Amino acid sequence: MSGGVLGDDLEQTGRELPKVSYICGGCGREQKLDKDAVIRCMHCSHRIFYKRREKKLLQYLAR
Amino acid sequence: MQGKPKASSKSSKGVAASSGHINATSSDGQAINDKVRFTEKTIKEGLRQASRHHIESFDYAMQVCLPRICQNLLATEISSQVVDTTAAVPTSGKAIAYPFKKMTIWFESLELKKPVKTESTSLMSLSQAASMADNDKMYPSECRLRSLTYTAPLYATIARKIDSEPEEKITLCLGDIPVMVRSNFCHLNGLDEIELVKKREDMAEFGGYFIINGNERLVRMLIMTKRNYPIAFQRGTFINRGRLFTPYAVLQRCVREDLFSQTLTLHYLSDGNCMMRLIYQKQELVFPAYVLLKSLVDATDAQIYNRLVKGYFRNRQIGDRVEVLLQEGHKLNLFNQDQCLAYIGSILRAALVGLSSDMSDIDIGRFFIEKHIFVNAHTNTDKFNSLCMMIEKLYAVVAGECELDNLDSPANQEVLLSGHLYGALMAEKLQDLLLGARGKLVRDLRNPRFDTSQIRNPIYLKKMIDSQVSIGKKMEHFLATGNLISRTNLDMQQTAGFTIVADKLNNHRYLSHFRSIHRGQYFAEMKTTTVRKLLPEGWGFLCPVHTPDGGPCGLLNHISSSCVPLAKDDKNLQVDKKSLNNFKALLASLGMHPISSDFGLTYPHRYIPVTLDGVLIGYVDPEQAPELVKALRALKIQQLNTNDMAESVPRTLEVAYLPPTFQNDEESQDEVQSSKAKAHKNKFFPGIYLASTVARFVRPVQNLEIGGTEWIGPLEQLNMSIACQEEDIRSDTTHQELDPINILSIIATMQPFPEYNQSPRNMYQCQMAKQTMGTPYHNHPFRMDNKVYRLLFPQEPLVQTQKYGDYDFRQYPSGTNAVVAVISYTGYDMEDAMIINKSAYERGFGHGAVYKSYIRELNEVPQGGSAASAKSRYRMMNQRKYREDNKVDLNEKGLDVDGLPFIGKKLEHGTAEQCIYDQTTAKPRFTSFKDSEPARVESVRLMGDEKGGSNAVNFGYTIRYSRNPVIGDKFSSRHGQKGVLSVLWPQEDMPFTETGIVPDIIINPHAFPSRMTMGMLIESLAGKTGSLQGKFKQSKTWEKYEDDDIISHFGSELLKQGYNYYGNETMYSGIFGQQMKVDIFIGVVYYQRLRHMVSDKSQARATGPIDALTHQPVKGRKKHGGIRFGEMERDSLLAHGAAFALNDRLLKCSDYSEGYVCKKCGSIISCYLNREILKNQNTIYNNNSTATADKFSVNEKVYCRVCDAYECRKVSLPYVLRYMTNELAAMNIKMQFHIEASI
Repeated sequence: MSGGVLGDDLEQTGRELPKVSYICGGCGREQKLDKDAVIRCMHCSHRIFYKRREKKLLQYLAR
Repeated sequence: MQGKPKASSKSSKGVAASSGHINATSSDGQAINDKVRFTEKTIKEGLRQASRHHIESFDYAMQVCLPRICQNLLATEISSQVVDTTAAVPTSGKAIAYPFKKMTIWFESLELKKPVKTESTSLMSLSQAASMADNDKMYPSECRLRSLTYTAPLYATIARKIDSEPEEKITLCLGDIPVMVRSNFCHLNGLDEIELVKKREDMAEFGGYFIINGNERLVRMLIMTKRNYPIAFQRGTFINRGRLFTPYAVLQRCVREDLFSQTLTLHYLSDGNCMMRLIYQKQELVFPAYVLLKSLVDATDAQIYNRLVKGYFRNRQIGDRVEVLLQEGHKLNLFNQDQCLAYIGSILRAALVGLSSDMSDIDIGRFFIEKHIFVNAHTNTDKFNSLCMMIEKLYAVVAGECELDNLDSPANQEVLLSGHLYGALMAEKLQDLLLGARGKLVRDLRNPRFDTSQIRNPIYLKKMIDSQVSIGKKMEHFLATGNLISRTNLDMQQTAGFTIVADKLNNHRYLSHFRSIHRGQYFAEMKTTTVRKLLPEGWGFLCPVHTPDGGPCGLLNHISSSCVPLAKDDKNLQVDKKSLNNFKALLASLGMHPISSDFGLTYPHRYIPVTLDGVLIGYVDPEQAPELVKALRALKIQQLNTNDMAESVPRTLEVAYLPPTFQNDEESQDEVQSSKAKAHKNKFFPGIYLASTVARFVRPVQNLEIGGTEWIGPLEQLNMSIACQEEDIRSDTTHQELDPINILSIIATMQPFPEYNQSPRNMYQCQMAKQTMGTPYHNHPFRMDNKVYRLLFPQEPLVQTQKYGDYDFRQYPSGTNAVVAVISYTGYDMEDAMIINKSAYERGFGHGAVYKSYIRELNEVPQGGSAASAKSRYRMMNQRKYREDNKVDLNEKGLDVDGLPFIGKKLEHGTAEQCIYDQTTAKPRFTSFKDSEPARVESVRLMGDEKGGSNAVNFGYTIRYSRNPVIGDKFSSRHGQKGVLSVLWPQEDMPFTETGIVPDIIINPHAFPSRMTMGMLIESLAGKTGSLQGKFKQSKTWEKYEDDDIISHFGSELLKQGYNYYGNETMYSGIFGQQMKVDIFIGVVYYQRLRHMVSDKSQARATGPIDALTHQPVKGRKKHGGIRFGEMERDSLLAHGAAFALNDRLLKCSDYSEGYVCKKCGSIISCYLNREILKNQNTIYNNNSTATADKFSVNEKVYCRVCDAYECRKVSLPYVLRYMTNELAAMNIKMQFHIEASI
C-alpha cells in the first residue's frame, strides 16, 4: 500500500526472476506460475498443480 | 523369492521377506506407468464385482426406472377454478383473473448425462454434452483431490399445455446430480485396469459410491420387509390403535416398478372385521376392508362372500367373520362401488396431492386406489384378489390354521439397495419440483404487478423451474448427511443414517462397507434382542460370523460371499405384458388353474393360490403343486429358448412353494376346531409365491434333480432340502451347496482355519481385520483422504485361504509374517502383552505411517460474510515485492519462495507451514503447524477454482506422521488374539532354537487355554512348514485332511523337514544361555498391526486450558485437557484415607481459588475488596516495607455489602462453588457458610 511506485519497479524486476515451477496434475508437464496467474494448466486445463520436491538434500534419521 | 531357501534366511527375516515378491514379476517388462508397478495387470473377478449390486442398482434406477418414474409423475395443473373455489384467496375479495383456463405441466422425459467440468456446462448444449472431449470430462480423481462432488447434469424435457393450445416442450438442466462411481454415468465405466490407472485410480477401483465434497460416501444396504408378499404378524401395541383392535395384522409392502412403495396393513378387529391402515404423507389413513373391496370391483356382497369363504362352510368362523366384514357396508350406508369410491374420495379430497379441481369424489377415490392401494398390481381385479388374499391370510392366522410369520426372519425380508433408494428419492424430488413450480406461478399471478403476458413465453416456464432448489443440491444433501428429507418418508421407518463414509483404512474395511447390511435405525434402540438373533433362514445369505460385537451386534450384518442382492431384473414380468402372458400360459400348461374375473367361478378351499409378485394368477391342486414347482424349477435352470413360454421364466425367479403341512380334508374338519388339532396347523399360509422383481437376495446352489446351478431366494430356501456336503444327501434331498464356504462373508473367508477356533474369536478377527494398518490403495498421490494408515513393509501371508487369492487381497497386504514363540519369558508378556524382537523392529517389523490431508484456502470466505470483500485480501507470496518489502526470508522458515513448504519439510509444533501475503496490512501472514507430533510434508497441491481468478487458490496438504511401533501399540494375529507391545527386547537376550532362530514375537501361553484359538496354533504349524518349503500354504475353510487330522498333515510335513512333529523346539535362554527344560512351540504366524496407537491416545497434563465458567480443567485430548478424576477414583482415595492426595487432586490441581466469607452473614458473594481502603493501605504498606506479615490484615478489610461490615475472612474454595452460589442466588436461594478456625 505504501510506496506504490517502488512496488511497480520491483514487480518489473521480479518478472525476470525465475518463477516457482509446479507439476501439472493432469499432463505431468512442468508449469511456471506467473504472478496472479490462474491455476490452470496451459496444455490440459487441469486445475491441480503439485509442488515439486526440494532440490536440497533431505536427511532422515536412519531409525 | 520363491527360489530362495527360506529357512536359512528366516531367523533374520521376520520382515521384508516378501517385499521382493512384488518386484519379481514386474521385471518381465511393460511398465504400465512409470511410477506404478504391479504384479499382475488384471484384478480377479471376485474383487472387481464386490460392489456390483450398488452399481447395478444405480444403473437400474437411472436407466430403467427413470422413464417409468417420468411416466408415473403426476402432471401439475393450474386452473382458474382452483383459486376461485378454495379458501386460498381470503386476502382479496376479488378473484384473480387468470390468463388461461387450465395449464398442465409435466415431465416428458428425463435424462442423466455424464460428469462434465463445470466451466464447460454453461457453454455446452445438450448435443455437445454427448460428444465431449476428454479434457471436459470430470473424473473422480479430480473430485477427490479438489473436494468436489462428482455430479452429472440431469436434463429434463418439460411439456406444457395451456387450454387447447398446442403443447410446448423445453429441455433444460435440472441441476447436477451426484453420480455413482463406475456406474454407466461415470467416465470410469467399462475401463480396464490399465485405463483405470491412467485415470489416476486404483487398479482395483470397483466403485459403488458417490463422491461428496471429496469424501467417498455410500448408501448402506438396508433390510426391508419383503415386497409384494403378505406377512402375518402380531404386535401387542396394535390394541391401542382403536376400539376392537387386536394384535393380529397382515402387512404387505407393495412396490411399483418405478420404485414407489406403499405398505398396507390389514388389522383384525375382535368382532371379525378387518381394517386397512396405510400411511400417506406421514398421515395415517384407516379404511374398513369392506369399502376397499367394494370400491375395487363392482360385485355384490354375496359374490364377495363366496370369493372369501370359497365354500369352506364346515369352518363356521370364516363365514361369520366375512359376514361381519360385509355388514360394515350397512353401517356406513355404502352399498355399491360408486358409493364406496365417493366415500374414499370425500375423505381424501383435502389430503391428496396432485388432484385437479374438476375431479369428482368418485374420481378421487379411483385416483387414490390406483396410486396407493396395491401399487404392485395394475388392474382393479388384481388389487381385489390381493386384498382377498390378505383377508384370507389374516383370518387363517386368527383361526389358528397357520402360524404367524416372523418379520425378523430373512425369509420375509429383502434389501433396499442404494440406487433404488436414490431413484425413489429423486422421483419424489421431481414431483416436488413440479408442485413448487406451480406454487411459483400461483404466487406470481397473485402479485398485481406481475405481467401476465409473459406466462406464455417459454422462458417463463424455465423461470418456474429455476425458481426451485436444484434437485442436485437435495440429492447431495441426502448423500452428505444421510438424512432423508421427504414428504412421504418413502415408506421408510427411519429418516437418518442412510449413508456412511467408505473409510479406506485397508481393503478389508473398505470392501465390507459395500457388503454390509443394516437392519434399520429403529431396531438399534429396541430393548429386546430378538431382532438381533441369528436365524437359520439367513443361511447362505447373511454371514453368521461377520457382525460386530457390542451395540450394532446382529443389526449390522454382512452378506455372504455368494449372496447376490438383485439390483436389476433380468426379465421383469410385470412390465413386459407379452412375457407375462406367456408365463401365465406356461403355468396353466403345468397344471395351474388360472383365475377368472367371473365371480361364479371359485376354486375349492383346499386349492392353493399361485401369486406372481403379489398378484394372484391362479390356483393349483395341492397334489399337483409339487410337480408344477419341479417343472418350473427345471425351466428356470435350463433357460430354454425353445418357445415363448419357456423363455419367459427368469433365471432368478423365486419359486417359493409353501406347502400345506396339514391336510385340511373334509373328514377331519371337526378336529380342526379342537385345541389338539391346533398343533397340526400349517406352518405357512400355503401357496406358491413367485417373485421376479428386484431387491431380493439370491444365491447359487446345485440342483441335484435337474442338474445345474439354481439361484434361490430366502423364502423358497425354507422348504428345500439342501445338503451342505456330499455326505448330507438324504433320500429327499433336492439340492446341494456349491461350497459350504459360501455362507461366510468375504472378510470371514480370509481367516485361515476358522473352523478350529472358538466361534467368538472369529467374530473378533472380522472386526480386527477391519482395523489393521495395511495397504489401502495404490494411487496415493491422487488421493486426499482425511486420515490414512499405511504399513510400510507389508507381506503376503504365508498361510492364506483360497479366497484370499480369489478376491485378490494379495494386492493389498495388511500384515507381516512373524516367527512367534509361545513362551512365558521375562514377564513382559503377561496379560496379552507381547514382546517384539528389537532387531526385528529395526529391520522394519510393523513400521507404518499415518497420512493426514487437509485444505487451506488462500482467501477463506467467512461464514455469512460477503465473498467479494474477502476474495482478494490475501495473495500468494510468489511475488518478489511481497517478500522484499517486508524483508521476509522464507528460506529461513523452511518455506519456498511461494510461501509453501518444501516437500519433505519437517513440521514440528510451531514451525511455519505456510506464508501468505495480507494486502490489507501489507504484511506476510504465517500459519504455524499446530500438532504437537512432528510430521513431514508429503505433498502440497495448488488447486484452482472455476469461479475465482488467481486468488481463489486452495492449498491441499498431505502430511506424514511416522508411526513405528512403540510400547503400547496394538497387534493381533488373525485369530482374535490381540495384544499390546510391552517391550522391544534385544535380540541377543531373546531365546533361540538349536538352528539359531530367534523369534520376532513372544506371546504368553496363557493366551490359549481359555480362548481356544486352535486355528492360530495350526496356522503357526502351517506357516512353519510353508517357510521351510518356500511355499505359500493354501488352506480352505472346512477343508478335509487325511483322516480328518490336520495336525498330522502339517506335523508330518514338519517331520520331513527335520523338525518336531508338534512344532516344538528345544530353546536356549538368551540371557543365561542354558537349555530350557521344556520344548517351546514356535512357528510362523501372520501378524496384523492395528490402528490403535498410543501416540493417538496418550494424554497427560500438569497445567493447561481451563473452562471459563468453572475454572476446572477442560476435557478432551485434542484440547490438551485432563483426565477426569471421577467419583469412583475419589472413593478409592477416600477409602485409603489419603485425604491430602484427595485435596490435591480435587482442589489444588483443579479449580482452587481464594475468596472471602462474611463472618456475619456467611455469604461468599457479598464480599468485595474495597478499592479505596486497599489503595490507602497499600500506599502505607509500600512505604513501610517491613510489614509483610500484616499484609493479610489488609485483606480482612474486605467489605460485606449485606452486613455493611468489614468482617470478611479469606478462605480457599473451589471456583465452581462460587459459581454455584451465584446460580442459586439467581434462583433466590442463599448459601450460608459458617467458618471455624482450622486446627
